[in-house]
Amino acid sequence: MVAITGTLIVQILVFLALVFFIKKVLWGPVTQTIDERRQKISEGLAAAERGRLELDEAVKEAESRLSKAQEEARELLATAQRQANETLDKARSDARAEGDRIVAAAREEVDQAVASAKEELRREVGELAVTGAERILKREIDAKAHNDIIDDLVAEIR
Amino acid sequence: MANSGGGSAEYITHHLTDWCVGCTADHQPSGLVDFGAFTIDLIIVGLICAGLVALLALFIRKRLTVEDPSGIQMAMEAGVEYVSDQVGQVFHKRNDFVGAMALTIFLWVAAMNLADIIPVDLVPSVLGGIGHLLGFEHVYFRIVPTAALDTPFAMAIVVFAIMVYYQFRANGAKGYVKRFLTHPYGKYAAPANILTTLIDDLSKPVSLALRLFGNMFAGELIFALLAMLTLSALSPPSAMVAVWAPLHFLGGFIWSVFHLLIVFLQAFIFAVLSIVYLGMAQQTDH
Repeated sequence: MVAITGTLIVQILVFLALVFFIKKVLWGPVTQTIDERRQKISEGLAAAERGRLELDEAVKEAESRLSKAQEEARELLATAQRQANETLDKARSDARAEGDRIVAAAREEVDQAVASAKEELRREVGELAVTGAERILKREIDAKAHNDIIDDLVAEIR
Repeated sequence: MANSGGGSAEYITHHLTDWCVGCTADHQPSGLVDFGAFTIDLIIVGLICAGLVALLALFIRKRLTVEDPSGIQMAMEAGVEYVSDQVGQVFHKRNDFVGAMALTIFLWVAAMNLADIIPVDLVPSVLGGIGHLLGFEHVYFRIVPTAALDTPFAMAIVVFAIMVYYQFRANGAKGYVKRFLTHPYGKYAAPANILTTLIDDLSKPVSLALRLFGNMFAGELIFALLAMLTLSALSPPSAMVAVWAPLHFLGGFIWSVFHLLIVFLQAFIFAVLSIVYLGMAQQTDH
């Protein structure tokens, strides 16, 4: 009932065969799969870490570019403002100078007109005086002889 | 049972008798050791269980993936990883042979132990019926290889052989002999040392085999004893069957659940202790 029999030999052979079969078909492939997965996971983690670092770098780069662009925009705006102001100032001063010039020319013209009117008036007053004197004296006055007197009169009128 | 008319002793005896080739006329081996006898039933069940384990291995290998493991693959990976960890702890390095052997022990022993959960009279009854049709008066068929000595000892002997190989490899032939002469009482107590070391070494495979055998033999016996509750009330038929049959089924259920734990626990213990013993054998500091 309880004995060691020839079955022992058979079972040793079956066991050994099964061990080699399991080692080749189950143990080997499964451990290999586990190793592959382990490697894949560590590679994946490394890649994720690398990606994170690259992202940080990219964000930093983007921020620096953005601030640079803002700086440039600000400078550009300031320059434009300054130029506009300069242009405006120049236009203003040009306009003022032109106006001054025109006023001066007009004033000169007026002065000339006044002067010529005065000259005309003087001449006519002189003639009137001579004519008046002639009428008073009933004779012709030698205009040349009394030119100096007339001139004095004219000067007084002036 | 058709041929259990002779009472409980005969029923139990029938259940513990193998389909044996080379046995004596009373279907028993001629002695405690009889290499001329072969218990064909246990060889057949052992081969069926090995075949099932091999099919499981092929099934899993076919569906192995790195990215998207199936449930059965993850379960097997967990088992392999566990065995691998145990081997690593004991050997301090990878040892694929010991790992594969421990996994094989667990799977094969668990499969063979599980045959104990099959109702105790089912296979003998069916095969007995077929045998009667073919003209055999008695058909003997046990279905739990681990409840006999051969199969547990087969594995234990293989483990022991590898233990000896590892001891030789670690310490050399001189170291192996020296250990027998000087361990553990020093060089002046050589006879005591030889005896102690011999017991120390042999107790390992013997305890491995007997622990498994004892647990499974007891489990099988208890199923047979429970079945006798109903049987005793049937021959001769009596009204007590109304009491004993429900007790039989209740007891059978409770023992099946408990035995399921033992089935896997014993397979596990055999596998882990094999790793531990082999780990001890390959240490150089004897």
